[in-house]
Amino acid sequence: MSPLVRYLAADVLRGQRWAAPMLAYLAILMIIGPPTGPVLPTYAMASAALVPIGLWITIVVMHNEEPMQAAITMSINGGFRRVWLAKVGTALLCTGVLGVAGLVWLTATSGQVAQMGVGAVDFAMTTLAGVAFGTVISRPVLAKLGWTIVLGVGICFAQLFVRQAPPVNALIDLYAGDHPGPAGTVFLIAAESVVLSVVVIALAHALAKRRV
Amino acid sequence: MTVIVAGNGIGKSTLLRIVAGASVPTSGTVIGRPRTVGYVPERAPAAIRMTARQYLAHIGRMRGLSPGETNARTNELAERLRLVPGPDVPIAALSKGNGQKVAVMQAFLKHPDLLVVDEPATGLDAPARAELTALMAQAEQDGARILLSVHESAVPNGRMYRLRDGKLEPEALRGMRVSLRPTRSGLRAGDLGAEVLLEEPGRVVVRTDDADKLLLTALADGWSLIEAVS
Repeated sequence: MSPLVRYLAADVLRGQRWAAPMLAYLAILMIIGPPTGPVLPTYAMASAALVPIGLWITIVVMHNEEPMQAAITMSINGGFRRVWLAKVGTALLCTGVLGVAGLVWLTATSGQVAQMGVGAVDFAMTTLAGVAFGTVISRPVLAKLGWTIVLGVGICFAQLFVRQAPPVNALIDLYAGDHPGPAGTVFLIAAESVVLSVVVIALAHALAKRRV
Repeated sequence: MTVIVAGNGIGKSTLLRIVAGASVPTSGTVIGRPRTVGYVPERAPAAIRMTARQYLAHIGRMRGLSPGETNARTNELAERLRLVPGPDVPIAALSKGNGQKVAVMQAFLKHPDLLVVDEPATGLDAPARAELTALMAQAEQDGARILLSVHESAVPNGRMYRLRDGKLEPEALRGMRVSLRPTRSGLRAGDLGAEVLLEEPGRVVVRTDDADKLLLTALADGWSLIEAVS
């Protein structure tokens, strides 16, 4: 872990703001699992829930440093881009820990180890998408928390209800019918999610650079 | 050393932040910024939950220092700046002045190639200000370039620029600045008959158009000359 990511993660952990998304996700896992039948739909549900949690954690990371502290961090690390990307990395790390916990717990309780690879893809894509959506609605792109919450809720609803929106609606749709789609479709959704996430992160970076 | 003076709200802090890499310019680019930049902001970060030692340990790692080097330098700077009650207290629990000392410590943890200091007198007590001046002099001796924004009354030696309408203009100081040290008690800077720029324990800085007359009077009264700069 780079010294910068280590510092950002340590600073986040010293606050209390990470506790709420973590507890919320653990509660969601308790409701969704443990799986009683095929594990793939449960993976899809649990990983879909990681999108709003990843979004929330990203806001926590992006809002954690106070302005003067952030100014010093930027000065030490040679400017905005490196620190911003490190914050994205920190958010991915924190969300990824929850994703790994969910994956391991659902796999262990279902005993369907053979499906773990597909589950890992589910959790990886939703972790990335959640963090990507978080970057575009947090500081410095949006300074006011009110707008952050409104847009965050809007993104979650869009993910849930827009047909075939990757990754949430597409994943849920894959397993919603009586005859689930082929597991290979997960990789197509993952590819779409990666493209969407990279575009959103690039947009967030461009906007953030103007507003820092 | 380059000194920038300007009134409130003109943009000198913004300029310093851009030079230090702590802010992104709306247009244009900064070129030639060296690798190690020490930046002391005008206001100390007051809400950091770590202790000064933990915070500086992270800064040391980011600067590429070994834990031993960082710890030794932390102890040295805490002692020199008289950080009270010490580096093992959460920064959020420190007073404003001591929080500012931590901001100074992080800038000097590793020898800076460029030192950017925004209003160094803000929040620091007189001994800490004197120590900061000594640290800056040492850094300059070691080859650091220094960019400083100060209130006009505390202008040190160096090239001075005034920030006006977004442009830096060389500032010519009128007359001569004379630094004096009292050799007996009861001496008051106000009695020198010159404009007092700075008055602190053991040192006053005044500006005069007639340095010969001022020095004759001052030396006769019991002042000792530290330096005179035109």
